[in-house]
Amino acid sequence: MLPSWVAEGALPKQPPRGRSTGFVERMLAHSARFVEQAVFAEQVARRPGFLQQTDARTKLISVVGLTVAAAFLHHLPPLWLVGAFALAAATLSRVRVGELFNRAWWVLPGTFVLVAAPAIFNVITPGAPVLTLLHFGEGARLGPVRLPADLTVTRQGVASAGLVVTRIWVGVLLAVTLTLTTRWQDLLKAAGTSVAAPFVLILAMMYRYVFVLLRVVDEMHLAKRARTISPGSLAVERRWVGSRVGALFVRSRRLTEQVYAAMLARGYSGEPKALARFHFGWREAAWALLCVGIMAVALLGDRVVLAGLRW
Amino acid sequence: MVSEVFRLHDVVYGYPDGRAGLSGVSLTVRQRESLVVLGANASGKTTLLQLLAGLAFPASGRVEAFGEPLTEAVLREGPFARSFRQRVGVLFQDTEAMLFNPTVYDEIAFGPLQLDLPEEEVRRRVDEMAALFGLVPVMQQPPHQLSGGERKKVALAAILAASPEVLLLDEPTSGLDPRSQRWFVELAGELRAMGKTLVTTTHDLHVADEIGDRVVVLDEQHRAAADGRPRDILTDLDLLLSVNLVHEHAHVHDGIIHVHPHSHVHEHPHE
Repeated sequence: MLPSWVAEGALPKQPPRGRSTGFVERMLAHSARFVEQAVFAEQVARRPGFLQQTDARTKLISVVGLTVAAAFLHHLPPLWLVGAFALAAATLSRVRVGELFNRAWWVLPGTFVLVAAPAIFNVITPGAPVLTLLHFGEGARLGPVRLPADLTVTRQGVASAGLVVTRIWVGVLLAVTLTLTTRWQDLLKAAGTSVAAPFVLILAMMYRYVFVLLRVVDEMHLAKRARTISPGSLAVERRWVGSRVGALFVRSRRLTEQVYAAMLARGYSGEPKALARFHFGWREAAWALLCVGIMAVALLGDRVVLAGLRW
Repeated sequence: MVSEVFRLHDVVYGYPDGRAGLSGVSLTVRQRESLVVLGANASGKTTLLQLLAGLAFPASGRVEAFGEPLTEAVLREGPFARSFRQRVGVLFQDTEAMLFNPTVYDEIAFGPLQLDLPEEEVRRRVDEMAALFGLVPVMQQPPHQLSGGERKKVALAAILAASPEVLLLDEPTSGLDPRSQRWFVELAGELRAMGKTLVTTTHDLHVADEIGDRVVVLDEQHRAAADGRPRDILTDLDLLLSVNLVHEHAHVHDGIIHVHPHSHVHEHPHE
């Protein structure tokens, strides 16, 4: 017999005063965006473009080769050539420039601030000054460190920073082109031929179960929202998030045990085995030749043509 | 002569937190039979299946498979461990845990690959299973993008691709819509006709009636309360009531309220 108050319904309640609890929403929005981006990446990788139809192993080896070659280049024009090649390959593969840069831009501020910016000053890279920022005077010291008379931006420093940023940017462009035009599982399999198979298996399973756990997070949040009449205080929300993190951890641990049991039941004996779906046809040969050609032109140009010029 | 696939003798299993899983269960599973394990929630059905699958081990009592004691030591490595995993396929209740590969294709190929079959044979089996289960359009999709019914189909296809002699099916129809449930019953019929041994846990009396040659009932004290033919078990309403598989149902006939055990398998008497 249900108690009589069930029939009475709930009285509207005044929402308590408290600070905004938007961080939970933001956290969930981030997780939703991750799923969205992963789905988007799969969509691009399914387009019928040139690179999408090229064997993953060939693509991986060629992109690693181009990135290593870029690391050995000491002049900007050959680096621009490799970058332009990556851009052209992506465009030929029906990847829009916006899509490519959307995934690659975030590397720039970090590399500039952490790696390139300090290198432009005469403290790191001595050379011809192009801009004087501070005048310390002769014999100035900062503790045990002896300071130069002036803090200047040097021509050599700018060139060196530009080279580093361009090199990293080209590497990122190549990597994004590869990951956008290759499905994650194909990329992992291609990697599995060159790195330890158990490592690849772990990565593949991590990627697989991230979505499962994100869905659990989403369901927890939806269930809470469905039963929340007025938002709680920040402290209450924090406690809720903490308890859910704990619950998620317990759940993921249980899932791990179940997955391992399922693997054992299906004959897994500790040695990962996967079907190799690699082929080397005219498309792969053409792509590999093109990459080798670009590498050769860039390296020769860098070492022979530009070596005598000053940049 | 019909040989035994499994034999459990006075098996007791307890969870680490002290809850009982099974309390003194003894039973045999014979080759080519379709045994249904019926029981209410938390009666020990899944635990029983895990013991048969060599994924859990009893605190006391004995489990034998194909005439050999099924212990952690023999399943760790060696020829028996390999042949056991080859001969016994397990469908987990939670397909999310069972489907751990990145795509449906890889999922179905996983079992045959563990058997070290030639690559062409693996591909042939995967393609045939995909066609049989209607999975061709989703072969390159990750399992998390599939519906519950599709996931169940992938899980079954993945087990069958390794062609086991014995199938341990944990709640195969839970979460399936009526059409998919019918599909499963027909599939179970085909598997029986092929001579496979099936052990299916369920609390669905319809399924037990349709696919079982024999039914074992677990009660809420985690013991085997009955073992017999489906007709005999499923018409014993007192038994089903005592193990919480049917419930007392009150309704009105001709202005008279009356109460009787209620199930959806057979006609019930109205007095």
